[in-house]
Amino acid sequence: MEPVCFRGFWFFEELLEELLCEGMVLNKVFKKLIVLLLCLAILSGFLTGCAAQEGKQDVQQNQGDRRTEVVQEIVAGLGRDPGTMYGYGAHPPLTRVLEPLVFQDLDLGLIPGPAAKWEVSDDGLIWEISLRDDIVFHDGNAFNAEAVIHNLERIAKTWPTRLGPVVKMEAVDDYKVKVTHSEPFSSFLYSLAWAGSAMISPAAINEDGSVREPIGTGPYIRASWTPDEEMVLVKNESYWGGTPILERITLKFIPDPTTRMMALRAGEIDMIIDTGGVLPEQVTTLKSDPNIEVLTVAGAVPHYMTLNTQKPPFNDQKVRQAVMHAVDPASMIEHVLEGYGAVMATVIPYSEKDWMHPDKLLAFNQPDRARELLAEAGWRDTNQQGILTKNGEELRAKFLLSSALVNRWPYGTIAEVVQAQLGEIGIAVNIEIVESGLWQQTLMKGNAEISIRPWAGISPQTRLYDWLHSQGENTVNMGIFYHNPTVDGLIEELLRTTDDLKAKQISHEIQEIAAQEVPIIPMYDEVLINAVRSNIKGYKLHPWFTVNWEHIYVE
Amino acid sequence: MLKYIVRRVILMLFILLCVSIVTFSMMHLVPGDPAKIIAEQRYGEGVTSETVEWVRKDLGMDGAIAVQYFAWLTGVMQGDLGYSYSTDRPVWKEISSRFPATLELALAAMLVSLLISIPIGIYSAMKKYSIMDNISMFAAMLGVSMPNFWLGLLLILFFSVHLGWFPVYGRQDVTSLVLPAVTLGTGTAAVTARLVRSSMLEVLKQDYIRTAYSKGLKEIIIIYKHALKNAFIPVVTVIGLQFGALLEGAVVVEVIFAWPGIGRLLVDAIFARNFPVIQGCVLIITIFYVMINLLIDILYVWLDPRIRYDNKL
Amino acid sequence: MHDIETKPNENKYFHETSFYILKRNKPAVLGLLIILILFLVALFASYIAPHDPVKTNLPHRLMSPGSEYPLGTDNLGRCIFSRLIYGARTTLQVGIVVVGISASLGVILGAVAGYHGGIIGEIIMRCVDVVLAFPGLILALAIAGLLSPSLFSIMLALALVGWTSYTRVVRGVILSVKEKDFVQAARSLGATDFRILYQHILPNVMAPVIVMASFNMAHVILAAAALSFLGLGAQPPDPEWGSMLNAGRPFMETAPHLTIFPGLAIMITVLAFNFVGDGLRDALDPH
Repeated sequence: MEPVCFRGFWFFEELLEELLCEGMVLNKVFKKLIVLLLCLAILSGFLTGCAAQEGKQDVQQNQGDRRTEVVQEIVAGLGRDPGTMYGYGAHPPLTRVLEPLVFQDLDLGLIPGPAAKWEVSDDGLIWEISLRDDIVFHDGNAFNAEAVIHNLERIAKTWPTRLGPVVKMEAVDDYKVKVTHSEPFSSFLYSLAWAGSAMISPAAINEDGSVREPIGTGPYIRASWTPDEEMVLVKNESYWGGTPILERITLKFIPDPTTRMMALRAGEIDMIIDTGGVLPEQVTTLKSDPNIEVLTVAGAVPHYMTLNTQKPPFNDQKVRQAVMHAVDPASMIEHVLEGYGAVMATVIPYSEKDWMHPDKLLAFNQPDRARELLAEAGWRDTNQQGILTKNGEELRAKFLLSSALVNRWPYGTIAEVVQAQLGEIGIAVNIEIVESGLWQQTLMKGNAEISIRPWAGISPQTRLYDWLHSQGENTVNMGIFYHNPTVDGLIEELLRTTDDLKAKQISHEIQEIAAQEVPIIPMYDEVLINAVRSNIKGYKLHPWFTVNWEHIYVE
Repeated sequence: MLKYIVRRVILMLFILLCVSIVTFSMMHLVPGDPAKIIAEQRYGEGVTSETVEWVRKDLGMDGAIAVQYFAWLTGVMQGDLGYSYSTDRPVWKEISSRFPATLELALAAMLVSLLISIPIGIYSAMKKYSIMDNISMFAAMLGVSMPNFWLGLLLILFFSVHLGWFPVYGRQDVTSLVLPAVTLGTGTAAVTARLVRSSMLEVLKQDYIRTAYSKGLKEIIIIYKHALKNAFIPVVTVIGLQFGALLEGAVVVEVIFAWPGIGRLLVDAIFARNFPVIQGCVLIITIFYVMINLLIDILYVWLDPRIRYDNKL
Repeated sequence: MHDIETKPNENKYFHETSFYILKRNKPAVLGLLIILILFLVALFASYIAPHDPVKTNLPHRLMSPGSEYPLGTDNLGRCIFSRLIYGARTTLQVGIVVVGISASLGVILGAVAGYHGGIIGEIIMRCVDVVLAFPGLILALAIAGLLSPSLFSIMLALALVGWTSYTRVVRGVILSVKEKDFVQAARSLGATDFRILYQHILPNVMAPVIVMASFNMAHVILAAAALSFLGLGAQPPDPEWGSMLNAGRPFMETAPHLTIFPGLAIMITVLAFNFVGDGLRDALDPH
């Protein structure tokens, strides 16, 4: 007998004929068959049985409790694994296992957190931060000046520019920390409020500054984490901000947005949290469901399209300007984002509106001007096929998308809209979607011309640094490679400036240059959308998507 | 019989060897220098050429291709499939943690498929050319032609979202298995139903059945005592064949239902260009499939002693 | 031993009788009709399609089927009907290229293995065994994934795994025909190998190959749609049924026409090829 490897049923019937032509068959055969089927049934029963048992227990437990009172347990779905960010094993604003020293309220104003108050010297060089004295880490270790300094050192090591030009960090007493900068660093408090600046028990920090386990000071404790699947949080009875209500929170990582939404509608999850949790196109469906409440807030999450400024065709400023003029965020926001977004006027988003340039610097949806610019740059439609050429080279660009981001924002559609709009002015765009790790690497290597990503940012100053300084995180990681010594100088000066008015003036100047040289195109300012089942109360959607877990309860 | 099994096992080993060669060469399909790709994955951007060379040496990639292959094969034999680029965990661990989910799905789908197909097949054969026969055979054709990703989406929409009977995604309790298993089982059920029908028809044509009829035996006795057991032999073979189809189909179904199986692992690895994982998945799935087929072949001979073992291979 | 053995058919006019049988098979006729329409649609896509299939028109997005857009519009305001029409082109192109390559490769190798035999035949058949040892779609997925995602990649991948069944069957047929009297007679009369292959063996091989090609077409279309659904095949904005279906997923409830119509298109096409395959098998192999 040869190995049986045919595909398709027409073979089987042929095969059958051969078998049957031999006629009589024995009784034994039938018995053996039954044995075989039994084996198969047992095998599959064994496998599914294990899973079934687990499930049953859960159901019984739930039903038992429900009869007595409402179980304060919740399952929340989100589009990214809350354990993978920052290398902490728990995303600080989403899990609230870890907390930064300083908090931001719903209007993004700075409010005391574990740091009760702070003071800065008149020259802006010395910060004194007073800590609360009633906090312990989840593992029982004391939260004090020593622990904070240990963390600040760790943060400064991991993100060298984040805390500014620190020269000295010292404990004044058990609950007071003094940080000295060599030059004034105006956005220091914002850096402290940043999600990455979370305070972690020194016992959980390795020698090299990496974090072993997320042991923090927050209202919830990470009980378990199954990468790519879920994270379970249990409440921290002794939280300094009062005992939380929910006993247990399960955060389910559901990458596919459609699945996420359907799981909420089917009641498998109670809420969808995080930026990019609910997609704009899902709002109509969700709103029509009486059991679901949709929450929105103008977020602090602008989305930027990036251009590779070092490689043709976008090493030419005119071509970059043409791209900006060709795209039409307004119609995109209206139609693709269903209105859940705002057209940006400059690189600074509305959440930092004090710092925005007074004028609308960016000019979108002017295809004629875009064509003129391309013509000035020497691109001509020589082959009459709609794609412009110059010196025999076609005007092509690769738009690289991260699949993880496509699962959270309608980037796939946006990219297709951009593709169509750039096609109108003669730029051929091909879209490629890859996994996020590969996306990052490809961009860093400069092997793609266009991409897009959100950037919540920390403060206006660091935003400009991250996106426009030649050493900025995104300038490098997103493959923008923008390098303008004037801008570099201005940004460095901005970071040093303590005088608010002067700082804003400098930032305006930077914004003007950015609008002129277009290394990035601010596409839209996101309106965050979350959704909860209507028996979930107390959730306040934060522009920074920080979840107020300690106030949420099941009704 | 033993001789036959030994022969089949030897053939299988030969095939597995060739399979390993094919899987190994897949890595070399990728444009670019594999050593450089791995070095960059390991140490980040801008690795020096020395590092690349070091990696090349470290992975034994500097030798002749045959030497590399044997080094790789030795590793595979010891369960060393390399490390995943994205998680840095051993590929073997990644796969073995996902495999039970896929196996569970495939077995459940097979159960669904047999439960649907066998009654329909028998019924259709007995009522040949009746309306029900025509309808079920048309339905079977429809089942074969239906894209399973489409069916899965429709099932989720109707049964999970609208009726709320089954979970939408994931692998929690036994209810979460129902929709993926039905989605995956439908296509193979259609194939099997057609086979059972024609198999039954052939049997019913045989002389001894006609004799039984002419002796005035009750139809139900004829069907159960005489026809069914003979008709089932080819169905056993189909179980083996179905496994291939089920493993193939599982990829799409796992993606749609967010089922944490090996198919999804493979698709994720493809988008991440995570070569060791792609290689590992293909290799393990294939080994599994080849072994299932061997098992079925042996079972088949055991079931039906008429088949001679000494057929030429 | 499972190779298909068709009875050698010496009737010159077997095509005519077969056609007669085929004509009576209603599903097969329906299938043929659908395929014919599909080909016409694909051929004259630019005349039939009411709109540009890639032209986005955001204000017109997600419109329900109506007079301007017969099947509605997708999330970018593109006419779904026009996209389906151009998608037929893609689908048939993939099907024909893949089936064409795998059938010709498979038949040639099968003929060599069957007619020539010997060590070359043995090597070919072992290669077949090895390729068949892989679950086909898994191998195709991996190959298409290792190359960059494009239609070309999936065509290559599917052709690479698709040729084996032809080889197997053709070899089986040839092995059985080779020994028949009329072939022996022709050989003793001094006919060349080529002549024997062309005149006596080819007609016998044609029937199973045509049947297989028809089923294979159905299988390839389904597989290509699945790969495109996963994002490995056609890239935006090119219209392809599988990727259209995937793009419509988020709108399954608010705008079900985005998923329903491409799904139907795939199913009907595959069904048509399966019907024809079924009918052809009955017609060409009447026993």
